[in-house]
Amino acid sequence: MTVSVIHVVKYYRNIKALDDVTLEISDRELFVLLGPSGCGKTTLLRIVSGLVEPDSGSVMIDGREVNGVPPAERNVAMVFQNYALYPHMTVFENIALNMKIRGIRKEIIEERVKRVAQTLQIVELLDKRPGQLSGGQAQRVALARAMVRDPKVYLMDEPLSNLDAKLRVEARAEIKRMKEMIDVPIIYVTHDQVETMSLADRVAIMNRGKVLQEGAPIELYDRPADVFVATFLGNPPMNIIPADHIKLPKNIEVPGPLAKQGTFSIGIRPSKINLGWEGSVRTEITVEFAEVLGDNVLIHGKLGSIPLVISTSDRGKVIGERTLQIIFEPESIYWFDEQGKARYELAKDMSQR
Amino acid sequence: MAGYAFARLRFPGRNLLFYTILSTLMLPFPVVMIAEYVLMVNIGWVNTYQGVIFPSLTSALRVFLMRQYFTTIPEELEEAAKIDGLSTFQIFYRIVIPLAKPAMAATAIFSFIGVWNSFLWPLLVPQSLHMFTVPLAINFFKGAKGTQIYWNQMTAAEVMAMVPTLIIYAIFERYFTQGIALTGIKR
Repeated sequence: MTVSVIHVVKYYRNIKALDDVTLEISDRELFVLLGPSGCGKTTLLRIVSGLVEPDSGSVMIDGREVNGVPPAERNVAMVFQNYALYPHMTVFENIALNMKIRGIRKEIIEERVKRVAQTLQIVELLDKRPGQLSGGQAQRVALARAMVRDPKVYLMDEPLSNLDAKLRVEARAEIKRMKEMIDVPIIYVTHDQVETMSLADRVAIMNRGKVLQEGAPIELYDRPADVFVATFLGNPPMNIIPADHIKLPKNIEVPGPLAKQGTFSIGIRPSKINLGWEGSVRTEITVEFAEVLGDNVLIHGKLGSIPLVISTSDRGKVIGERTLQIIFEPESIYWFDEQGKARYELAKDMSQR
Repeated sequence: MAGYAFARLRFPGRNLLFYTILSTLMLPFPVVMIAEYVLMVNIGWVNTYQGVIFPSLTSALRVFLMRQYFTTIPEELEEAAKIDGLSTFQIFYRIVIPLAKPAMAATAIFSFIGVWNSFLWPLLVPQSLHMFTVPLAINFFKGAKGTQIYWNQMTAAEVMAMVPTLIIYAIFERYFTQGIALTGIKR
């Protein structure tokens, strides 16, 4: 079973919420839509669900065009950010409602609810009401309500954003386990890049209604298409330094087109910056403050007027320092044009990164 | 039901209609009283039960109260229901109505008190004694010419008149507290 979104455009009043989005999501795939709030990712999810109709373009589920088909007949299951459990019904009734509406026999409903409840370990919750559940339990019930229907596609709208940090890690594992059990695609909306890296088979990064780049998360991490993608994936985000704020060694090789333009920016991940004097690119930053996170220390500093973050495990060397000597290697530099719209590579390492 | 339509269904002129209804709240009853009485005369409902009852069956205040409550019910619940295959009407009576119980209880109490204590309209429309409302009856404890007031009987009657209101409140009271505890949505 596959889901295709073809040239979908959606306006809200005069704002283009989705600008010609085309995506192909295949079987057994957990596909993440990642982007900042208001980038259109939730709109896209709702268009696939049928709650919202696109202004143009089409949505195909399982090879059938579903434009104009009401949500229930698309056989999609949705997990909402706030779970949207019906407060006046018990957990059992919540899970069973869809089957009840479709007029399925009582014994079959009971059996299927029980089976799902067992898989998700919520059997003892079946008689409770949503108000009596903890966040993690409510989240499992919401998953159960989706799973019991055997849908053609799962749609998840930031399902973990209401959980505290510890529960979130558990719930991530829960979703991974659930994914192993089903053989249909999951479309998962989030703005959390950690969730993305941990869960996604493939990811599409969106901004202002456009898909900027799609692919495996690690591919996007290693080979971002532009500055937006580069700074969105990875925590802390990649440092972007305009070339005129840093002195690059004379012998360093700059990708051809950028060298011609003369103005460009370089990107460097915080973990690729080292302390010391012995390196190809050397410079000095002033330290603003340090975050000691345990093994790691994040140094927030400035290179001239440009903010810069360094991640290092060398606690002893950095705490209390006002200025730091930093070095990095040309291999870890990402080259961007001045507007940050495109990334360039040196001809020779096209194949490596 | 009108409140739900104003809260969730989209139809042309919705806001205009809503504000029109709302604006009738701003007219004091004595202003429309005469027009309404003329209407009753024309359809021959003077001195009938329906003449007393019908005008109180709907009220802008109640539509307004219910609409305000319906807008607080999270839209996700209705979307979840849509995905579960419920029709608009099913969403209304399976999801929205059960959730609106506290608001309906409040509206019911308001309406009851309003109707129970109504004085002016029942003074106009019914002419036979058996159709009179309690406040009208209490009014009889004033002497025929208003010269003599039987205070003792009157206050006793007032206490009696309170009892049904208290009973109604006792019946609906539990919905108030329940409503708050029921929220299954995490914000």
